[in-house]
Amino acid sequence: MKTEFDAAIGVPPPSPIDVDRLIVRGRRRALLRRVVVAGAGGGVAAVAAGVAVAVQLGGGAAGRPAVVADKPSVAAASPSGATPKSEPAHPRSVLPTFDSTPTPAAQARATETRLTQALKDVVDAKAPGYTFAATEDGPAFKVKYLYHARTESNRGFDSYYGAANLAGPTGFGNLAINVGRTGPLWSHTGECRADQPECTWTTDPDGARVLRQVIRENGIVDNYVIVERPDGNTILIVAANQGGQLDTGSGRQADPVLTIDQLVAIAKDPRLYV
Amino acid sequence: MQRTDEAAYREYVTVRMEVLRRTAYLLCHNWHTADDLVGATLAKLYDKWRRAQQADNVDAYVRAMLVNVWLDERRRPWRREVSTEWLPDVADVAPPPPGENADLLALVRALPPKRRAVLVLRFYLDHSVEETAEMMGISTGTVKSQTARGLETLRAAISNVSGVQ
Repeated sequence: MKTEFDAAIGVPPPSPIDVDRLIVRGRRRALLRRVVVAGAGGGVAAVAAGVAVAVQLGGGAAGRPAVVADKPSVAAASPSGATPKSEPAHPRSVLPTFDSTPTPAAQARATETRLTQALKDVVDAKAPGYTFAATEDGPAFKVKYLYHARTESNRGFDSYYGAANLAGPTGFGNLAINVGRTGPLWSHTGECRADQPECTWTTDPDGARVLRQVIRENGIVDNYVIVERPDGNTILIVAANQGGQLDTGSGRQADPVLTIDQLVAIAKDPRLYV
Repeated sequence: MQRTDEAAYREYVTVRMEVLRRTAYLLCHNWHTADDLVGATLAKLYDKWRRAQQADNVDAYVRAMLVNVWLDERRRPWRREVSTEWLPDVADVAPPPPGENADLLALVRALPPKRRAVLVLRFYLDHSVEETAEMMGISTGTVKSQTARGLETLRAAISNVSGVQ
């Protein structure tokens, strides 16, 4: 019967699926959604897509000063009344004795709902004229709570993730964002490697530490930004020149759909917080 | 994923691409959609590559993913909301000529999705009843009943076809 099926199918058209691009998108997805991984006593790992940025777990040796994790959260003063989830402060050189636990479901759902609307509003304000479409992860900017469970060697951590495909004045492309509380379980390495020429870390006048990076790989270009805000939120946001991991075609245009400056403006908007 | 794993993933995908595309086409009967399904499946496979390699049968693992991506896609209307001005660079494909084979595809297309998937797994990919049940997360009894009903439908078109009991 297989023979008859094959005869019925006939000769397929050439495949538009580019394996190299699948791999590039897979690396990007790994960076955005699972970001990280450092051993409880080890350093930072998790370098995907050639980016020296990672979420750091468990206070390993990062080569960077400790992040004070119990800064007051903007959520505390938020009219939404959401209770912020905070981690105790401790220097990175001292391993915490607690394990991260998932945010209570009701609180996570409330934050998802708030961030879903906030993300649409902020992107519309900072990058007007774009329409939002669904991605492989769900409806446009439908924010999801992600808890990365503790494993034998890693402590758990959590963040909120949303994405959309944007179409507008500069073309088409995927925009993905990850919002989390800065702390020993969610921070960055704060370094650009020598093989990353389009990568800079700055401390802006408002006190935010900002990574601005362009990643070029196999025709796909990502504008990649991390903003560690003084209010205790760290936001990772990436714009591409095509439609996310499942878009296996080439870039729709030369540059990502949003500029680095637009991404920084979005990431600094106080409406995006946890 | 480590670079060595990526090399293994690349090799696997390159070798299996053809059969995955043909399988996806049998499920959805549209090459554009079939390539979307395969692309989605292979993207998920990238994330789960290590787990897939630990499976007893990697092909069965991946084919189960493909079937589930297809069934899942049918359940999620938002997936069909994506609209852009961009069109994929894929050649138009002429429908198969009229005749027995075209009739076979038409009959397969008329089957309910899960029944269609059962027939594709059983008779195109040669999986056993047990394997098919495990891949689809259903009982062997359900596979047998779905197979019987599906074959009943196809019998008119495949009466002269070998290999169908």
